[in-house]
Amino acid sequence: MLVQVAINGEKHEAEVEPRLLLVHLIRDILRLTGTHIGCDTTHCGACTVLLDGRAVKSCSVFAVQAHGKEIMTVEGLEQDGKLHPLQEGFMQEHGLQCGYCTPGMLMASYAFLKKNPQPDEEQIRRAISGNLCRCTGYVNIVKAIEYAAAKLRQGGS
Amino acid sequence: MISLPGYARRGGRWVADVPSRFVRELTSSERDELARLCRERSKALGFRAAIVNLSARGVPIPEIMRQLGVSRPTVTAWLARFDKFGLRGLQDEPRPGRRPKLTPDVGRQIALVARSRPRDLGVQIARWSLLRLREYLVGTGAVSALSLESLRSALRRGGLSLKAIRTGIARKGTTMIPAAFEYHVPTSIGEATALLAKHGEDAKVLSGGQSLIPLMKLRLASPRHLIDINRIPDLAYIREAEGVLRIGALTRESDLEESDLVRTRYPILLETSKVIADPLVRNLATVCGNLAHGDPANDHPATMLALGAEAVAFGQKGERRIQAGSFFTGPFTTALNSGEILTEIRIPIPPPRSGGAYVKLERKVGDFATAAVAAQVTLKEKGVCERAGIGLTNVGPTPIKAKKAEAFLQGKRLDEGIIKQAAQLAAEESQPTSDLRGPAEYKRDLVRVLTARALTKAVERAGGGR
Ligand SMILES: Cc1cc2nc3c(=O)[nH]c(=O)nc-3n(C[C@H](O)[C@H](O)[C@H](O)COP(=O)(O)OP(=O)(O)OC[C@H]3O[C@@H](n4cnc5c(N)ncnc54)[C@H](O)[C@@H]3O)c2cc1C
Ligand code: FES
Ligand code: FES
Repeated sequence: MLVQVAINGEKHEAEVEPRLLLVHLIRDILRLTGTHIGCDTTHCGACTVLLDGRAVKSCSVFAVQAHGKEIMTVEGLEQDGKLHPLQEGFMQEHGLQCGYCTPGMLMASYAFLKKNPQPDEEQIRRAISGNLCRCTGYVNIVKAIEYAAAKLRQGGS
Repeated sequence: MISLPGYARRGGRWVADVPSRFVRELTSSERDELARLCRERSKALGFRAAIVNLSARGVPIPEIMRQLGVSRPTVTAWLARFDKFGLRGLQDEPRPGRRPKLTPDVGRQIALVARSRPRDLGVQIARWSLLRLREYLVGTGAVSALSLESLRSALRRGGLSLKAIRTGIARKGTTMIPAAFEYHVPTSIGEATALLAKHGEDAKVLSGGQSLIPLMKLRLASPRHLIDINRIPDLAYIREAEGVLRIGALTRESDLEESDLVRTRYPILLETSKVIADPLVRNLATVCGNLAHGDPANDHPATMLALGAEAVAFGQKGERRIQAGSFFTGPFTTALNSGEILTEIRIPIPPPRSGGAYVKLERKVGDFATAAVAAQVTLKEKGVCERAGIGLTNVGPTPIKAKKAEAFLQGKRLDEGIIKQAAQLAAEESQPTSDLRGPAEYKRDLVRVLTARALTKAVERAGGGR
């Protein structure tokens, strides 16, 4: 089946089997390997991407379901060589250790901050509850998101 | 040319005519070209040239094999190609023996089409992609069949490339986790039910996919046909009309969370949605899917039981209504038959002095309930109960409607003592089993505690005894 998608503003298309998962289209076929796969059971959120603006687990959507839709992956965060405030926040606040969960964390919090630019800690923790991190203990991830929220409110891109 | 018995002339030298196979006599320009190519032995072409060169100098095949570390078939194959096609035979493309697929005429035609705007040719897309270009060329009979690779190289030869759109090709070995199925994308309910009727038990409806796809990934489900209802218009809504709150089949959990109507008037629904899975799953998971799945661990069933909701089932024969109380017929089984789609949930708008609550205990955020209880009450004056609905999650083979507790509450003043007794009745109606989430007795007692909490909150929201 033909799938046409726009990823980070660029159009892509591929002929795929219906059973191909979106994450495999993104990683294996279109070679955008920033999006990770961390589990077999729809639990970890490492595969989080934005599908028409909603953060979803791309391992639990079929590629054919994304036909005609807009996708944003972690590769789309950086603009003109400038890191997104979230990426900067994760760097400044040590929001990652091994980095495996990071693309998913970034995309989930990106969608979240769009909806809620002024979140409190409790809301941030709820927002990333579909993203598991086995390294950091989440404290610095929450700080990183707070950093980004503050910067975005000041109009930092 | 003189002949010397027992000797043959190879590469300008007389060599012993051993019974071995050698390449044909070279022309001088071939000899020069081969010598040049040989200098780049790291490249495939140089390597092949070296095989021919050695043979031309009278080196027998076993010696070539030894010197270059190649097998006999490789040596004989390249010698044969050279004999037949000369230097061209050593090239990769076009393969010797095969004529080039596209004549220059066709190549020019392809380039012409590729340079035109699709719309000018009646194709309603902004820009060509390889696939669309191929479709057009084959469709108009310009070529009979064409691989994407040869199309790509034809374009390249014509100085064109299709860069704006990247085309991925599923390679052999691309990961395929679920079993194969046929994918259908109906655009109307009628089309969807026709597909369901046609494929019967082999087909499954795909809505949010957040229960079904995980099951398919584990191959615990492998439907042969998937009917994706996500592209049917007008199925995502939350609205009150004629005394009923209606929730459409494609309303996601996150839609409930974001709806002002739900946030202000239906805290019980908001509380239920909020504790289901995580925000990412909730962005796709539908309320109707949560019910249709028939999982006793799902959260919405208890709430719908408490609210006295009604399911609208649509099939080939039309529409029928099913009371929540008779909807859940067994583990992962509902009153829907295989040809029906759950198109809407209808919740009677609670009269004044009503309130409800959903209380869930989970091991960690996003987990299925160890136990959970939904309670909805409507009070008359002085806090006397007019109607009570109680639903229990994950403490039996199906979601459970605690009928005895509900009946007990009717006509009573809902004070602490009465709530306590009702909670005890609900606990007795639960049928938990021991599992990783805890022993049966613990869960039963949990039902008692959670029922009391849910009722207390519901009464509070209904305006208490005032
Ligand atoms: C990590 C994780 C945690 C979860 N935790 C919870 C939780 O705590 N509580 C909870 O309640 N759920 C939980 N879920 C399940 C989730 O809420 C599901 O999305 C929901 O149960 C099914 O809804 P869906 O729209 O995704 O349905 P699908 O997965 O698309 O379908 C589920 C089943 O219902 C059928 N179906 C779906 N829609 C219809 C329809 N309109 N008409 C007829 N048949 C239909 C399908 O054929 C399929 O058999 C969790 C899921 C995941 C992945
Ligand atoms: S890979 Fe773990 S949720 Fe998608
Ligand atoms: S940084 Fe290692 S899993 Fe999160």
